[in-house]
Amino acid sequence: METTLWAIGSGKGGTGKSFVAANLGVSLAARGRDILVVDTDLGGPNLHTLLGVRDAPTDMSDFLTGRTASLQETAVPTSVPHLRLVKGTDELLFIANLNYLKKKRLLRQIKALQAAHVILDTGTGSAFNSLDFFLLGRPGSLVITPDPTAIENGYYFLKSAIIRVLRLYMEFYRMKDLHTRLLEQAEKDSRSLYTFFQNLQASDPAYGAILYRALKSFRPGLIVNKARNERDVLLGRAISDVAQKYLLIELDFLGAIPYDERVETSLRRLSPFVLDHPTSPVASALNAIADQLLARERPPLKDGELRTAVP
Amino acid sequence: MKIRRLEDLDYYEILNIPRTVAPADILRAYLLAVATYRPEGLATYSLLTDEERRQMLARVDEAYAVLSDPERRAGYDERTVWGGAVATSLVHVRRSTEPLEIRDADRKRGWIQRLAGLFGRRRKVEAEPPPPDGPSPSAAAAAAKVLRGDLLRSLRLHRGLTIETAAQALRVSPEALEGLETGEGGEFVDKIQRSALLVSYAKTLGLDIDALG
Repeated sequence: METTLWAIGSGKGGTGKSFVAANLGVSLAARGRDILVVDTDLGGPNLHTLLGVRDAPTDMSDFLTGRTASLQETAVPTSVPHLRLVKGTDELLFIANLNYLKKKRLLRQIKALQAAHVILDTGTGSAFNSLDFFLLGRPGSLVITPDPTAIENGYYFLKSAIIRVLRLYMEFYRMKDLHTRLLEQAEKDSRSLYTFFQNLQASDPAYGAILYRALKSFRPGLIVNKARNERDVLLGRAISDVAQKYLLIELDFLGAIPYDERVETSLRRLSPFVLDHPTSPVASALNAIADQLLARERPPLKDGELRTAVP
Repeated sequence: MKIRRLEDLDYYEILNIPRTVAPADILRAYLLAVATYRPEGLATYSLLTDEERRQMLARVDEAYAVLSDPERRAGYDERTVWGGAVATSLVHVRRSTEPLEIRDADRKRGWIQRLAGLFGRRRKVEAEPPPPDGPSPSAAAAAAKVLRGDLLRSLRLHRGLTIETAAQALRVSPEALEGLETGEGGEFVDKIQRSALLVSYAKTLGLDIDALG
């Protein structure tokens, strides 16, 4: 069985991104598969805390400094059977020095990780570093909560990710400056993506087709966390519909996780929530989300796949 | 590359429901869409301007008005299927080696223009197209504006009808019908009379003009 690589991202802190990543891992590990969760939140890693790992003998910094040859070797076991963790690093040295080449190497190593499922907890926000880890996911899933600030940042995150995808393809194909300028205009409002593609289609239909396919293959997931009622669940459906209409992307609504105040208690006890409450609505929601992700037929991106996009 | 613009979305897509949706679910979808696009709608917060919400709400209302009425929905289904499946099958009959206009056609254009592209001599239609999806009480009148004689002639030939047979069915003289097809002849100077005849001719040829409403 091939390794699946899922990323969990968020446009805003406090949506429960790391909670989802950690408990999705626990939930899948309970099915007896080898799960590896990786904390790529370079600014503020805390996945280890959610999984009750206080001290890890090795973490990502060991790989970044060359103390270990591969990222795989830095994985440590957790208290949960079948669940291992690559603990993140918050050493400022690495955040500041994660230059292009280091990042490339890290991204390659993440793709090479061995497990049945790899789950990335990516950095909050729409910075390039966060987006690049998010885009590794097949899919990357965005976690939001039902409030205006999370939704605003969520849309900003999606728009930034779209622009990032298009830009990466443009760089790959060495597209003209003209197109890059067009893309800059596309960042302005919700309808401008249409305009961008229309202009591109007029000036260069072949590139237009490549970029449009790239956009369509970017198929993120959406998870609504801390849902309090049916309306919050429907919100996920509505946002996925709106994203398709206005941002031209397929945004798969994977499910809503109900609000549960006991989450706080588990957190303080440094114990993964779904381990404490395996039959809670939260646990079954996470299980359903895992099922959705597993059901999605998305073969992993192979090296050179970009090339096959040439018409 | 085929980009689906908002204008291209059909009523089912507007309400985000499958074509096979049960009547009871249409109301639910409508309420969700209204909640989504109303000014304080959370799902569109920060993404859409008030104007964009207004425009979408108008289309949501329009979609609901049609799809919630079984009769209008049936008419809409028939019409939109005609524009898609049936017209495409005509293309196959034609065995054209040219690009299939019907597929390449801008969806904004109505089925009549698409038909014109299919049969006609690749000439731009000057007249305003009828709203492709919009329910309009005067859809037949609007359709008459863009029904062209040469288009109907192509359709008649496609159906294998002689001008005499068609004229007989319409109870007009073959010369008059010929004049209508070629756009010449003075018999139909009266615009209203001309539109009326174009519409009945179209109906005779099997174009379900009434279903447009």
